[in-house]
Amino acid sequence: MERDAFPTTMHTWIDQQLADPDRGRANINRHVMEVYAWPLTIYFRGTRDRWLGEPEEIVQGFFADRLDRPDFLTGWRASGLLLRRWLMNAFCFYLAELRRKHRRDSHADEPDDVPAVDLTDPEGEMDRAFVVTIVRQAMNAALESCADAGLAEHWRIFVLHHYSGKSYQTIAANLSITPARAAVMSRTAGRKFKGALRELLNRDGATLDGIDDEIQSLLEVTCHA
Amino acid sequence: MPDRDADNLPSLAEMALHDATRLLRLGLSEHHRPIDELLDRLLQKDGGKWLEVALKGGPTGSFGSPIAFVFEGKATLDQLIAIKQTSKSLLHAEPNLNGRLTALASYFFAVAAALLHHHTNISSRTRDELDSVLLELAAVCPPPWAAFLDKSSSTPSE
Repeated sequence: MERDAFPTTMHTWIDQQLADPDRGRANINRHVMEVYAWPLTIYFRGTRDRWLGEPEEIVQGFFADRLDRPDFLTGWRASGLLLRRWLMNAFCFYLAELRRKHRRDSHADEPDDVPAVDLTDPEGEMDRAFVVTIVRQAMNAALESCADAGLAEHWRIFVLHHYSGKSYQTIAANLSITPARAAVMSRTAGRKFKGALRELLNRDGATLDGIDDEIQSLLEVTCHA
Repeated sequence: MPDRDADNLPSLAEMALHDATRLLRLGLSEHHRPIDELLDRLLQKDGGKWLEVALKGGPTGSFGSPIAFVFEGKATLDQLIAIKQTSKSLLHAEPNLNGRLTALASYFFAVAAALLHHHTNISSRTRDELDSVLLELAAVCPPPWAAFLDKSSSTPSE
């Protein structure tokens, strides 16, 4: 999974944002928090460190501590790692810092009565949460994009078919259109969803021609849930 | 499977992994049809403006105003066949993407005009295939072209 993520000449959305001194940093931080808070929360819930605090607060504390560091994202870009891996590694360091701080402040070792969690595949747990997050983010982006373009009905058909599992025959009968037209409308909305999903994977560090491979890797991870 | 509200997405905790996995699969590249690039171009913010320029500057503009000849039906069937043939040749000969997309748009608008105004399918595609593409184009074209394509797709042909 840890492949070379970026050719050095590639300009990503994050590069563009880094080049914007006014709002770029805020845009990146918002994106990172929207996409990675849930996967990190899931990761944290499976660790023995969960005695440190409420998962959401720990993750927010991590973002507040790391995202303001000027070299945090440039360090990621130089690492060649996928962003979620980079964040997971940094989160582990952050948890270690919190443990040390606890020992220092309370002069006590970490509690030994935290029930062990059999987290045999922490990266997989995080990847599965990442899949749910990016799919939901892409749905949200496609929903807004369809609404802006006057394609709200196209979006509804897409969701009814691909998410609710209804056949085009059933959908078409309810809307008094032909099944072929329902399929075409769904494809139009589907293109927006697909574009949004691939954009999120690109922002995570997959190269444009490596996005299919990245999706295949994630599909394999979801099979092992 | 329960009905889901298309306007209110599930929360992260509510979304099942198997649902997300099924949707993730839709992100994979498939066989890329030439029409997909045209649809993507039309979906861009300046898609309507681009289409206007393409129809005027491409083969559909060769007999005069595309509105008059294609939309209003002043082109004869032979003229539409000529536009279609020129578009097809350009599609293979044009070195740049914009030129190919212009040719492709001209091709489908000539075919749609032949259906709407002459009730004739001048393409080699079946009506089912053709109607599907015309409807996809209609979904991303600005008015009045969206209605024109939509109407063409439901016009019976000989």
